[in-house]
Amino acid sequence: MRDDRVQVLAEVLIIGSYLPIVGRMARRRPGTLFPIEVDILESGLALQASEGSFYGFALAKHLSSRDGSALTSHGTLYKALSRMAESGILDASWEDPASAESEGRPRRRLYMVTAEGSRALVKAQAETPRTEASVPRIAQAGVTFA
Amino acid sequence: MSVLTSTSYHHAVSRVSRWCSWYTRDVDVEVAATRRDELASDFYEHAIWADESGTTPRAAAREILGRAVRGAPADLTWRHAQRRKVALADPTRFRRLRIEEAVSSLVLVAASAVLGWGLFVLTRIVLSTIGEQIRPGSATAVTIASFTALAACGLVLLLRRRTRVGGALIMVLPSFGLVHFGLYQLYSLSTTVGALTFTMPGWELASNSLIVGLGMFFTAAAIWWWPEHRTTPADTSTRLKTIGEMTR
Repeated sequence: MRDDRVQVLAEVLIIGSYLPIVGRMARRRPGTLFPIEVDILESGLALQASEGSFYGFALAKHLSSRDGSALTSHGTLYKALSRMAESGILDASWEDPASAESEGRPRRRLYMVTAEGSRALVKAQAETPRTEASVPRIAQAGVTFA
Repeated sequence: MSVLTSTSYHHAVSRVSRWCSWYTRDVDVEVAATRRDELASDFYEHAIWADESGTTPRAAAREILGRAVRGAPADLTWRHAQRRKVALADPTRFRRLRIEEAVSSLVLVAASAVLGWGLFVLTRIVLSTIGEQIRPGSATAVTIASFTALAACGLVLLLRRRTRVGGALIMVLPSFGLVHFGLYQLYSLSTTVGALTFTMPGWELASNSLIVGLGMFFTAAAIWWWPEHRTTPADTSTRLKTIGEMTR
């Protein structure tokens, strides 16, 4: 009984220790997208239309070719992709190892924009008219806040 | 020369992979493996694209390193978020990790302070030798230099998980040597230390307590980190057999 109380107290202390950090972090309103997520969904849908799915480096190339910027940094790109896959706006799966092996390269993690992702993109585009001057290009700076 | 086979590309990949191994440590094994595999694919695709677009191996390596550097803040916040998830799933394990980190930090701070003290005393000795206040190469100066070198070795060993037990044990010696001989040397070089020795009644007790305290602290750290000895089934059965024979 006493051990249980100690355990609960320890859990409360540990979770509580995160609260100041969580409080400082920019929080996303439910159903909204970060600028980089909008970029990823737009590029992802374009790649998906031609290739069926897309992978990290193909996405970085596409994002770079759209505005002539440098390739998106590893940290920003893969952090955003994993977050989007977790929230269900992207569907992620590993490529069949046999096909990667036949081409003599490491297997790719393939992504597809889900129906929920498409809806979120349409909503984001309707809510914020994206102009070059008004949209902060967080992706180019290599930093996200989630 | 192809980018994939170039040395500069391999160096860049090796550096970014090391960085990846660092920030994925203590993260869920599967999540960490996904990040590593995804990066491995990215490196390969980058090299192929660089070859196709006529980018030199050096430029491709610079691009890879640049992408890693620009993404480092995002990597760290990702790591923090992943560890938070682990904490919420298993608070007890995470508490152990935090205690471990706190112990490591305290030992490193103490070891750095001992080394810093040694370097300070050495600097005073060098300045006094230049000012011809003391003769060069005195036995005390050589002893302090040796203990400072030992403290530096101890600090280096403390930085690696595998060698930190040895590092903590080694730090016991310079803790004694640098405080004892350092104060002895400063007695003749520093007006402050000289005045404190005469005016402060508990000066010797304080310095001896510091030596004993540091020695016990580093010994305790070595015991804390000492590799666990797991009792093998064979050991247990032998012990049970012996107890059984004793009771008969």
